[in-house]
Amino acid sequence: MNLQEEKNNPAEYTDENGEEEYRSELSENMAALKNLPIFSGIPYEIIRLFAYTAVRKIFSAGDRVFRQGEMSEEAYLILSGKVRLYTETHQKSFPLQVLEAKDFFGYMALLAQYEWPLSCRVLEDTEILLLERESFRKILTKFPEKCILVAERLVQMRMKRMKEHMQVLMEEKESMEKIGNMF
Amino acid sequence: MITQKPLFYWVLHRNRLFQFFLLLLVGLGIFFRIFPLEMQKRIINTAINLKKQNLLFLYCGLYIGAVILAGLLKYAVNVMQKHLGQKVLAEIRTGLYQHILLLPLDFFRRTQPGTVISAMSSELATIGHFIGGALVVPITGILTLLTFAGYMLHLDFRLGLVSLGVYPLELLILPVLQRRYNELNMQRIDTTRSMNDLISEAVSGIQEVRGNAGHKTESEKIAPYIAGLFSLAGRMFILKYGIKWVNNLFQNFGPFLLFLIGGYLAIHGDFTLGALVAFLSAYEKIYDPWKEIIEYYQDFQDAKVRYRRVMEYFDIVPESDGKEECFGPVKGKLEVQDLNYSINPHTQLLRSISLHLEPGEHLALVGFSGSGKSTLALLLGKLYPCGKGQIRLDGRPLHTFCRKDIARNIAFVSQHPFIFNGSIRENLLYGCRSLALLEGEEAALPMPDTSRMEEIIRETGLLDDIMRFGFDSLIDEKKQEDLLRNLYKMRMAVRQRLMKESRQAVEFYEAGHFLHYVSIYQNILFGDIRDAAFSPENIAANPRFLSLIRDTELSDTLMHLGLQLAKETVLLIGNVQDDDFFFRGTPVLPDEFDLYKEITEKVRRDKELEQADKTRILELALRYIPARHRIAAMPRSFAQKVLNARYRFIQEIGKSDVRNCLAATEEFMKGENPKIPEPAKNKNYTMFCPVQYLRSHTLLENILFGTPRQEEQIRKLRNIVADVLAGEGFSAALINAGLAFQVGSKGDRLSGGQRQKIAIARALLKESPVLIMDEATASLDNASQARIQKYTEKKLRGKTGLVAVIHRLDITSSFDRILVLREGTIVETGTYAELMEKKGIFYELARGEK
Repeated sequence: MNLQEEKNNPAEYTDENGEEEYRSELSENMAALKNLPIFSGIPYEIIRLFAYTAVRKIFSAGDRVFRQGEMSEEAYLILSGKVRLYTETHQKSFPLQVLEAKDFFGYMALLAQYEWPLSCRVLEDTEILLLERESFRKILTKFPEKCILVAERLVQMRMKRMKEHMQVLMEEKESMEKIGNMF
Repeated sequence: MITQKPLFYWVLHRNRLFQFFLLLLVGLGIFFRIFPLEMQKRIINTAINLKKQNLLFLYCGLYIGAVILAGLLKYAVNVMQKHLGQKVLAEIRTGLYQHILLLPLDFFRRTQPGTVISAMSSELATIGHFIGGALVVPITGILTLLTFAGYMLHLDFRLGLVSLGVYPLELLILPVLQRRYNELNMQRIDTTRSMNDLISEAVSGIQEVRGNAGHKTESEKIAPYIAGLFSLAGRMFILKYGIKWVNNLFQNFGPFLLFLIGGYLAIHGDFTLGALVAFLSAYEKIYDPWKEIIEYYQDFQDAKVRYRRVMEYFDIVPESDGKEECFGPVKGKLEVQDLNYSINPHTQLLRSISLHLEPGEHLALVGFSGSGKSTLALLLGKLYPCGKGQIRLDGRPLHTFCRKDIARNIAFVSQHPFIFNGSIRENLLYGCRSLALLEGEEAALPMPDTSRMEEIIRETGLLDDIMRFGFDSLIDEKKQEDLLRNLYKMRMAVRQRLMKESRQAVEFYEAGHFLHYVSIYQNILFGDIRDAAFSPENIAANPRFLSLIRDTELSDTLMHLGLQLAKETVLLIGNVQDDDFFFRGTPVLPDEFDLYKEITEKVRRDKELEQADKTRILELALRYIPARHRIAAMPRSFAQKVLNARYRFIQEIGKSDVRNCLAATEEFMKGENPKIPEPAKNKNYTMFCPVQYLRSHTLLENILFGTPRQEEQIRKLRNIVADVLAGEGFSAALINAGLAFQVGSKGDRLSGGQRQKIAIARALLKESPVLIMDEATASLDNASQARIQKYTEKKLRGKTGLVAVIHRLDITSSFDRILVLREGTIVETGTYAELMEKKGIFYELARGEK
């Protein structure tokens, strides 16, 4: 496959005077995505399709990104701003992690639909890049052997996270219940 | 009964005065046709022979006068005849259609629509053609024939006898040929019918035909009929023209004999020359009526065969046996006693069913499929004729109720209801309007008013659908003036609400702003234009537009942008272009991909682009929507140039004043009432101005006066707008717009669920004391099903008796009683709790469901 150098990216627009140079949203998405671990070793051309099909969304402080129990449809990459994950049990919510720019989460949604085990709310005005499972599947069917790699990365990332959580569990036996609810 | 009336009933019992008058004209016509003959004789024998000029002029004048009068009379007779025929045809059609629609439903199960259609249209048409002349033609013919024959005999008895003598011979041969022709004609009608049936079957089952690639199978099925018709037609023409030939042959014997004998007599001075001329003329004239009589004979035979064929087919007694009475409204107490029903001696569908339903009671029929639930429902709705046993409504046998009573007292919703072509409103009111028509004006039930309609629409879950149809409709400027008048008010109210709740949801049409959510085309035109030269397809080649973008220094920028879009698209999705999914973010359409690929190839090889290529590139740039097609970036100076182009376009091509619109927009954004600007000088152009109605936009777009920023928010926006409209009292207008939605043939522009909901609403609007639902909610989603369930439970219980055939057992718990059917008999009866307690068949069924 012909791998394009990013410099030749035609989406970088130079107007006829050559004075101002703007980047298209596509190339900005590209810049955000290409360094994600899940895309390491993936041909440029395929990452660009992900960048092309990704959707940008702006949330205002307090907006909910998704809610516990809702069906998962997409993975999230924070471009700017901050979000908080929390669980909701018996009308009470327990704040968990805070995520910020460059954090990539909810990525298992790319592989399968499931109920979100926790909720996500933005803490300040936040821009998030959404990778939809539908797009992921479409691309997967076009380049199966490459996208299997992506799937592999996703599972590996997940396993690594799980190991970390196990560690936390072992260390804090008292808070077992609380964290157990997370999964 | 109409089907038992003979063909001549229509001739003899209808329009008698008219026919009498027609005959009178015919008699006069005959006189004026024989009169010139006498004149001919007198011209030759008297005027010329005696050399009397005055007499010559007089006779010639009388001759021509008579000829003209005869012609005029013939003309009048022809027109009147056709008029009469069509009048009777209309009568037969109306009567037969009424008759057919009242035939037992059984009849329609074995009859294809094609048969009914061809009978009603083409076959009857020829009959109408015949009926017009059924009386006049033979009477004219025979009278004329007799008159001329008498005249000829009067001139010379021997000669007359000889030349007329050939005709009776012909009468021996013709009927033989005609009989054979009739047989073929009958076969032709039957074959045509079978062919029509096949065609209508293929057309109504086109999905299945397509799905199975059945076009060959269908062609094969129809081939023998086409071939059959071809061979029948061949044989029929041989006979038809054979008859003609025989006729002509005999015709030519006459003059032959005449010359032979008449000539001989004239030579010997036994016959005057004038008489011979008159004789020849008379003989010539006798041919016409004779021919007409023969043709009439053929037409008559043809019409008789067709008429008999049509009437025989529909000669079935309509369901009512004449003992029906109309009793008016009932309370709705249904009793069934020992009911048996079988479709043939071997297949018994229902066996000794007994049940009763008190007024307002709710009864569920459940059971295995094929257990006879639907049959029972149809029998209760009198859609099948009652079998053995009895069904009573308010103590009277169901079959003694007239159709009107049944329609008023029993509402029936079937599992696959029929939706008529027309608006949703027409469909909803179908039952009510039909009843009103039957009842006559004074007894008519009041038609449901707006609030009743709204209630039913809401309760059946149709409200959302109808509001969406309303929002997506284009306003009919003539019929919906109230909407137009209040458009600005609505816009304002919606805008204020949006400002409070979701500021970013809509990008308003602000004349002074570059818009990111509409195409560059719309950005520049900034309005609706009804001029094909400026349509999106043509504008890139429109010289006026091209010079406008050149003047505003946009040409190069747009070309550059178009090329970027094409290049980027080709590069990005070149390997995945077989999937339309990947075209969501580019202005290139899937079927244009190769074209733009070619153009980018040319550019890469530094080849000169042709004019057509440049047009395509410009077109692409004009289609670019900055916020959606994120593969290209937009330079800042671009927005300003586009705005400049917009102002010039509005001024020069739209011939409107942009300042007015800018001011109005500013006031609109501030929430004030602007004054209405002067209309554009170019009548075809309407600017996006907050006080203007935008013709090419839907009602929702008109009210929003802008573009939703996110596709998935349209639903939310719709709800907000609906809410605001309700608050301002415009709900009814919106619902009316939605009710005007045209559903398409058989309602094919609706979803299955919508069709079902319309059918339920249609039944509920009748407010009949008994409601029968045959799995009426089976194709609805759970929420809609639950909503209707709740309505029947809360609002109808105690008021409307309900018999519901139900498949899902969990929703039967709210019914007063449940009947469980198996193989045509009732095996269990009781409430949900009782049946569950009993742990019998119902319990097993319910467990199986879980």
